[in-house]
Amino acid sequence: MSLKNNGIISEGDTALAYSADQKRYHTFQVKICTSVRLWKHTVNTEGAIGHYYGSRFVIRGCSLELFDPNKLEVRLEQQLPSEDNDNRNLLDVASNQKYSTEDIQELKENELAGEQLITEIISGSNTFNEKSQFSKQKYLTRKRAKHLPVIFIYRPSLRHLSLMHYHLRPEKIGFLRIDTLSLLLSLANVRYGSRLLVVDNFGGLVIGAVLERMGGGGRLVELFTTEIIHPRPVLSSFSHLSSLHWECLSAFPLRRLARLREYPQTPQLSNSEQKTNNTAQQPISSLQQSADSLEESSIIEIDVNITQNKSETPLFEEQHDHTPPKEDRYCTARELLIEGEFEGIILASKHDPVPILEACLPFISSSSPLLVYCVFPELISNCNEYFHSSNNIILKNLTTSWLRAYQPAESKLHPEMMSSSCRTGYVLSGVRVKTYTVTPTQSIVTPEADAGEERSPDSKRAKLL
Amino acid sequence: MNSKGYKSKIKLNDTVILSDQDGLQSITVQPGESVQSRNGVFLHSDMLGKEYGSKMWSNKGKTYRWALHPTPELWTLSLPHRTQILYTPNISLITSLLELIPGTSVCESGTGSGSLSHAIARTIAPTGHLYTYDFHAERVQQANDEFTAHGLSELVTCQCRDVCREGFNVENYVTAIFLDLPNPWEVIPHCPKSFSPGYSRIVSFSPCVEQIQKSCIALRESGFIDIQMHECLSQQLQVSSCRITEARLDESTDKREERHVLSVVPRLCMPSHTGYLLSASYIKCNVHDL
Repeated sequence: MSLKNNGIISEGDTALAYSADQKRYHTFQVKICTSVRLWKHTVNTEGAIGHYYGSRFVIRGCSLELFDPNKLEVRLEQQLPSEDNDNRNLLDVASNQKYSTEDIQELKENELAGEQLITEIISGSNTFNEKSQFSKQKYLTRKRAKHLPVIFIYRPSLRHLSLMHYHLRPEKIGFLRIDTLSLLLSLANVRYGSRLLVVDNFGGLVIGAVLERMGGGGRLVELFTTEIIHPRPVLSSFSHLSSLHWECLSAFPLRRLARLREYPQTPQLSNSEQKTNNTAQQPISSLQQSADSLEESSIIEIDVNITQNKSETPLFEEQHDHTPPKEDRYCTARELLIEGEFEGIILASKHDPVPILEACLPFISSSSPLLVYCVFPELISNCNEYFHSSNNIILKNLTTSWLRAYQPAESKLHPEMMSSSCRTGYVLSGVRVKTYTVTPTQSIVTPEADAGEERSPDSKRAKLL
Repeated sequence: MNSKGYKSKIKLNDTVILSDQDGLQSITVQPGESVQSRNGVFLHSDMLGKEYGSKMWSNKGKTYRWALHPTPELWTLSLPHRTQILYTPNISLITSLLELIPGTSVCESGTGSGSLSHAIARTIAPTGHLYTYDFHAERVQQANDEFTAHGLSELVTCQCRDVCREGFNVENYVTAIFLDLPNPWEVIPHCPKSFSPGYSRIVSFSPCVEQIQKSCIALRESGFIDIQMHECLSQQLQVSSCRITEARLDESTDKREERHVLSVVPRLCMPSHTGYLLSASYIKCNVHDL
């Protein structure tokens, strides 16, 4: 349940440095006696150890110092607006500042660090006192950002990581902005104890976020579309999750899902049988044979085969897979998939979502949310058509999220100059319900087996909510 | 809601969301109760033992409803409105901005109709706790009844209290506070007292810019840092099939190519303002550290 540490920066932690001026994050490791590179500065992070996460630190030279707003020497007095200056007498000339860049560098080298340097620069400015209150503040903020940068040190969290990755390389995470990602998590009802299917082609951001919200309880089966699971830098940036969180995750290759569906869902192996499965060692050739024979056999025969061989594993192995130990890797996910009854799916894929969704639907219990995230309108419109043509998806809703950041201030409140308000993907949501075949006499309805999907294009379109 | 896990079959006293073409309705399954509609009656007793996601036919067989498992999102769409409520696009962003995870303890004011409270309770279960306050005694009573009916009474404490005057009656405990009040700046000075030592988050929802400006001053004066402001809207889209005809470029042919393309277009009208979200962090130093 709890995250790795108690909220105090300690040695060996992976932390995030955030510069509010540049709106940029940087991942680093907290270490004694080792310097890390934070943007332009080479800093020893030892000074941060023992303080709370979320604290502000000043980069002074090459060390970190806890930022204390009470220690600021330069303070601006509040002036009445009527007494305020304006820029009618200000001229843009180089002589406004008596110190040159070299002079300031020299001041810095003379150990004139911190607030004194700022005081010196202000005293060197001829025009400072003629500026308006607002531009004085702006001048001060700019000088402080340059000579006395303040950084926040955060523990990684969904909020920070989604902001960081969106800022760093939005295309890598499929433009999954914090609001869109949060919407997916809410609509999929992710919580402690969830049982979810996830397809994530966006570096594992969705998987990491779901794991954080599951808090170490629940089951997340990742269906991966690649041949093998590649290392994913976005997912590994969720370094704050404990082993309890990671235990909820299991993976299964999407391409083997069809094979799994042929297997009847009802028979479940008892514990003793599972044990024999794990210990059963058979030569590869015999596995191959049994797999081959299964190709032509009917479902019932498969059932017989299982009881005879006491081995379920070769059924689902691809024929070109010649390494038996591999089977165990997907063992957990396979068992979960055979159980089925997943409480929802989040499909955040760069592929066409329709075939993937069709393959996954049989594993999802009725009354469960279906979430599809797509970057491209062409793909989502196809999927929307599929939602509308299937008779077992209701409460269909297609949205895109719009997020605008503002500069919060008492008097100068306005939207940020630059934003990516519109740059995110599309979220298509729906709720899966039971499949029925409607007989001519309406009162007699027979629920169909969940596995048998039927698309009836003529089914009446339910109104969008 | 759903805190005790997903159930597959409808049982007595369960909350069930009924969905039809016109919208959602929530009911608590009771013996002898029924839902009236223009085309017939749905008996609660008929639903018992049915699977969630089943189609329920009315007694005359003329109309049907889908019986859905409750989720905070469906509850938001079906709850009885006693106040204006927050909807899922804002709720989800608030959840992320407050950095809620299972185990977080939260203060919320006001409770209102309990739309956000249900979503918070879902996210912080099973070991977190939500303290929610409203100054309206009847609303508190109704909200408490709902929390009990939805099996959330162990996770949520709902109290009648004017937090603007008295602050929260929780000290050194929570790590997240959410405010949806007409004058949040009156509560903000009380907030640091309730935070547990370390890093905590606050989010305030206000529809007007003036409220944000006053809250900003209060946040700065109370020692909050990393103050940010967002506005989040959800754009409803529809997919329409457009008929495209080729323009005639010469006199020779009379036949014009025609094709259909699927296009994603926004609805003509959308909710274009809900409120501004002001968020900030607070670092509370341990008393022993000072």
